[in-house]
Amino acid sequence: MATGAALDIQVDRKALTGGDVLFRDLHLQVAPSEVLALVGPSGVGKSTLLRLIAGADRDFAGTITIDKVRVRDAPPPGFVFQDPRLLPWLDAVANVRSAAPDVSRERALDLLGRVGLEGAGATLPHMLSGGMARRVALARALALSSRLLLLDEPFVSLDADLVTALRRLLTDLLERHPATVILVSHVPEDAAWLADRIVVLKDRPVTIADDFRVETPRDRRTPEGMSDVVRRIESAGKTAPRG
Amino acid sequence: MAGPSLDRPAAAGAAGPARDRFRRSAQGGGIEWLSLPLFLALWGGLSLALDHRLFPTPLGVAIEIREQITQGRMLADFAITLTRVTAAFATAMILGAVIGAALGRWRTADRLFNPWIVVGLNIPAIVVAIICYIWIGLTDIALIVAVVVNKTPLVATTLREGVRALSADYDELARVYRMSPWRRLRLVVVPQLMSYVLTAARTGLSLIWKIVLVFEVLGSDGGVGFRIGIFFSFFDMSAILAYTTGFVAVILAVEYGVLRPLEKRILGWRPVPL
Repeated sequence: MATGAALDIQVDRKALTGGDVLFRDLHLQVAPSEVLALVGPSGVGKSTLLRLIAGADRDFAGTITIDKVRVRDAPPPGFVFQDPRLLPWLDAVANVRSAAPDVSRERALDLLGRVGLEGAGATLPHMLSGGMARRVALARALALSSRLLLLDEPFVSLDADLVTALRRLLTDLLERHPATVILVSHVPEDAAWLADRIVVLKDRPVTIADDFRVETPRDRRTPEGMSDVVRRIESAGKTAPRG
Repeated sequence: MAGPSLDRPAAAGAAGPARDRFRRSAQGGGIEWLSLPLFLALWGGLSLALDHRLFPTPLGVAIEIREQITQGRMLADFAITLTRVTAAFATAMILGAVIGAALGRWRTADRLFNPWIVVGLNIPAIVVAIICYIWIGLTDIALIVAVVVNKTPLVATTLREGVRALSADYDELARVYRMSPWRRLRLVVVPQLMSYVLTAARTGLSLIWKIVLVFEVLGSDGGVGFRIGIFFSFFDMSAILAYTTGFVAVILAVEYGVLRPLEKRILGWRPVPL
């Protein structure tokens, strides 16, 4: 079974447009097939870090490697954006295929089936509910068969039922698709449910407030069991400057 | 696996097909086709009330159309004008799209050439035509160049807005997924620009119809405008209206036979507005 990618993230300096320094000497290593959650308040820089890892933003000093290959030369990661970001002029199956030109229509339909959207291949994005659109976006990210999956607030703006269902879906997919995953969320519960390792970010320039492993296997996690993890995340992030 | 709550389609989607059908029927088709008999009835009523040779009846104009087709040069004139319109339209669309894309993409170019666009948009069409006729001579080329000079700034302005409005989010998506330039153009850029292209085509075509006819009156040896100019000298209202009616028929044929189906095909993905 294929394993996930190993990441080495060294950001010497990353400034925002106004000159405000977001990252200075930030170093993170991610092991193959690890599910790492980056947690912290909104605006701390989690999504920016994810965009640096994805190669969407190259305006920084430092080096990020995926399996010892610089990001710009590495194969594209699977990426789930905060919004589903489906191309509205393409139906669901074409959206899935948009990420990976080599993916056949049959494979795209199969991926849609894996995220529970059998028969929705010809549906246009505006006909999909929020949860369905997220699942198409997830299928698109999986279409690349990438060894790295980046999830940027995948549950934001969804109601509680949808979040629970999507978490369950992701847990299931992670078992079958052993990629390295970096999950960004400002909600401690998301990290507690899905991650093997949690990194809490705070301040500006960003510092790592806590970095710890969640030992309980994902399929045995319960709300009660996860409350300690959530408390630890909240405690580490308490000095965070802003929401 | 995901629970049933994930399978809920959006409210708009759930009632979508039935509501879309209702909206389409209310907006288009039936009502629209009533406007032609309504117009003819109004025209017929007025011509009967006025009873004047300068206000012929629809039937009189229909007879005149038949005579112009069988005994006159109506079809040849239409062929000449349509060739000119097509050549000018295609050239102006291509040129305007390239210029508009460049201006929308590069701010420096936009700043440098924006005054040209402003002048191009506002300079009277007739002035351009006269200058072209003097410089190039009373030829088809001069006429087409004059139309292109008039029309290109309008296309460029529309496409510039389209390029400026390109979504940064979709651009980021293309970068993250390492789309090739061709794939990015085909999947991400062109679909976003198509509504602007169609707008430019529609407004441009309506402008070109008009100025080609005016330029033909001004200086040409054939075409609809040229012929209407001759009829004008004789105050031949039936012939003028016969040509006008034929021209309107061509315009409607282009609108309903080409532009609307094209629009439906290209922009059919868009939700029908309430």
